[in-house]
Amino acid sequence: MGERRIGPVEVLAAVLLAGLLLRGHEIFQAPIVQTWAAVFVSIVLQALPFLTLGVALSAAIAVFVSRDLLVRVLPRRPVLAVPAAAAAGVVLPGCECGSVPVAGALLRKGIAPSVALTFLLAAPAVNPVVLVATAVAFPGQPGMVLGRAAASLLASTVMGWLWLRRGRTEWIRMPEHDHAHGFLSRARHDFLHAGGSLVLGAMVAATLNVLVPGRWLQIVADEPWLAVVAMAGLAVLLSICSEADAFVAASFTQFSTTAKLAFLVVGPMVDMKLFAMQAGMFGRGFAIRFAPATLVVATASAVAVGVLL
Amino acid sequence: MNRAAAVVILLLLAGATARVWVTGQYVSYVKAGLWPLLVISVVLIVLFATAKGHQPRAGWLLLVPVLALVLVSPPSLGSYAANNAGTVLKQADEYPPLPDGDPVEVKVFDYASRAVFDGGRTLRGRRIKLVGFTATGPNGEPLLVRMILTCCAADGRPVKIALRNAEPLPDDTWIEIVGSYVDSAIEDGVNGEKIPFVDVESTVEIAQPERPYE
Repeated sequence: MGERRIGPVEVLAAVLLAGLLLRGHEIFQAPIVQTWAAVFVSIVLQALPFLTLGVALSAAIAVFVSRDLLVRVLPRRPVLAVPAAAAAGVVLPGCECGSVPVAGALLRKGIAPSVALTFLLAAPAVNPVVLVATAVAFPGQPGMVLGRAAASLLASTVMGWLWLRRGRTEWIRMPEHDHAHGFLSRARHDFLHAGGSLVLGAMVAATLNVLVPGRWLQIVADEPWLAVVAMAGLAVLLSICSEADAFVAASFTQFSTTAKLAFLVVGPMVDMKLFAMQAGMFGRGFAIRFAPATLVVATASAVAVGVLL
Repeated sequence: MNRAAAVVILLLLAGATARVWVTGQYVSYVKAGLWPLLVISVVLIVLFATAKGHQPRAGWLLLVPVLALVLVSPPSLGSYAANNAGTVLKQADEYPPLPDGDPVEVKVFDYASRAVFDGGRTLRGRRIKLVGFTATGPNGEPLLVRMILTCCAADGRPVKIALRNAEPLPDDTWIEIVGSYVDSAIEDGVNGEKIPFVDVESTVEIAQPERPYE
């Protein structure tokens, strides 16, 4: 009693004071630091609306939608519910940052993990906003839009079925939620959680964006298989929002169509910020298993569809 | 994290976001059209701050973007980002004649596309005005660059034009040049695409345009 401890508010005050004192220091004028900060801030700002609306939607599902309703609209047999969930991804217009909390809300409602996870993977890639952006980025190439939708639905359905056969519910460790019941409390909890993960992912993505020389890409573009692997890897590292990734893919003119498709299919399903957000939402044990499996399935789906294009 | 710290962090984030919107600085990071969604985010974050309940520790990380904006206050992408990425070219279906005007202002993106894919057919015989920032090309030649943005600065890509007969200027100087098309191009070492030339007649240093990206 009477002992003064350094609490969160004191830490916060110290951080802010240090920030004010260091402001304008010459290290912050270095081009690499400024470029890093611009890319980092831009990823956060771009994702912020989708994240805030996503957590609001997920809180609304959690508080206002009954489990019975969700169960009634989905096919009873899990094998059929998985593709239905993939197709339902069409209705969530947003990028991947919004779909993580929504999938979390579905799980908490008691929806089967295979169904919720399929929705998580499909929604950011097959919604109308993203498909229209893809059509704009690849004018005169409707195959790219169809290919993206087909390969994304395929990959998310395969992942759902894979979970049915191999997945274990105990891999998923949802954060405790017993003390958050109201709409706003839930929304804030999810926002602090997913927002923190988003920041972590954006920091990694900005670092790679600044450090990986664009010249390296030219070297791998000439090898067909290497090109697919490189574009899939790049999608993971760059963590670009699914509404924008088509334009970035189109700018990699030296890469094959299949390699670009791999970029478009992998990006919305696995990337640095998503991995951080999934680890935050569903636990690290889950993310470590789920993300690599998704990467392999998504890349394979893109190659399978890309061969047909 | 206790409730007071969470409230302060959320309000700081909302404040920093509101500030880049009000000052117009946000166009250095995202598309100008995003602002209504940014306003909605600010309102929702302030609403979240009023809630009660458990505070996850991950929320501390939300201080990082606030600090990045306060400490670095990064300008729009410049020559550092331009040097690290290959020039972007996109072929248009057709190239109609340029509008009237002498000189006629042409977008950097449009100039490069007309020069590379249409052999400069619609550019010949015209005095052309281009706006961009300076950078240094693969063999040390002065470049005029404009970044194009699709969504946010993470996908910012440069469009590069090489300057002939230009006075040397430090990198990242915003300039407005008047010049004419010359039938010549160099290769961008990053992606092997062509960087067309423009023959510079006059150069004026200008302030960064309100919309730094094309």
